[in-house]
Amino acid sequence: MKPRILIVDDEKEFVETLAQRLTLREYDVTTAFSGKEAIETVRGYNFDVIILDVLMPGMDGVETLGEIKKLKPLTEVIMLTGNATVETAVEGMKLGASDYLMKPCETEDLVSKVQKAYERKAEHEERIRAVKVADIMSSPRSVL
Amino acid sequence: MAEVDWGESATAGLAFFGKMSACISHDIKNYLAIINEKAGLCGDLLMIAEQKGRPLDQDMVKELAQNIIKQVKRADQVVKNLNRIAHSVDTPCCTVDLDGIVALIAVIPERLLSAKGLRVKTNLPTSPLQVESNPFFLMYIMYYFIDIAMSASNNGEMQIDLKDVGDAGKITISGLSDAKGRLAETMPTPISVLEDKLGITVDLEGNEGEVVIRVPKAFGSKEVD
Repeated sequence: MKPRILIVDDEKEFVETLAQRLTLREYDVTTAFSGKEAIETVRGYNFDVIILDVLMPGMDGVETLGEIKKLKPLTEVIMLTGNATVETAVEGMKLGASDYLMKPCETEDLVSKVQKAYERKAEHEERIRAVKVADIMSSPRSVL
Repeated sequence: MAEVDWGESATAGLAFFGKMSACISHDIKNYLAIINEKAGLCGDLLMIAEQKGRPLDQDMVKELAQNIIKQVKRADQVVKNLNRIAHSVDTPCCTVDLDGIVALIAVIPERLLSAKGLRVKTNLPTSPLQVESNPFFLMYIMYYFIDIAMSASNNGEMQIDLKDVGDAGKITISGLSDAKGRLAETMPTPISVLEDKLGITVDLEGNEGEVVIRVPKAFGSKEVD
């Protein structure tokens, strides 16, 4: 299955072009242009990795991150910042983001971070599956 | 003209310059990010054409090139704005197009305002309104009230009107109702110092949520209509 990516940024030109580039690299890409739209999209669909801009009108990236983590705690979030300093991105990482990128970013760097985040989520899910299987094996009646 | 000691206003002005520079560099980085992705997509399409033999979509490449030019123009405008702010400290007093100053200070923090759900509309005279003043500190004073609006409101619209009232330019900033608590606080020292040095008056006693700044056409004169 292709890794499922959501890109969230109010800069439409940026989002659409990055989406095209990631699609060419065999990712399944969805876009959102605000924090609110991102949350609605996340409610209805499971993403592996979300690339989330920090500064957006209305709900900002950090607030959006909090909501995403409440809805889908396992989804990996990479913060994207247009600031030259990393304070906000670091704040995002304290709230559960797995990594950050600074605009403009190198394609190899972006793809590498997305791929690592995807693999981390897959490993995490695998560990949860293993625990559940072990639980069922130790007490088969619990399934009933 | 006598040497002006700007005192505490200079420190406050430096903080303002830092904020504007950060805002502008953020805008530039955003445009660079778009240019980076558009150019990257051109490269991706060429690579696919070379390596996989897929025909190059010439219309798409043309559109990407045109868009890159558009982003360069947007970034260039932002750099011009930065240049205008940077040169506004060249001389402590000069002939200033007040309408240009109002337009500039309304447009630079657009991204910060937009993040707060705020918009600034300007209503400027059709012909240039010139005053003898310090352009940098005029921007600082106007931004002080825009910043207050940003700290107090999560959405809405501000309006900045500029009128020629004979011996002065009258700037009316409205839409600050949510910020009336902040406006009621004592004006910070740098603003009071600037009122004195530039001869401007800042009036908060009119309509609720409205600030009127009068900038005399002659530097330092504090006459009323």
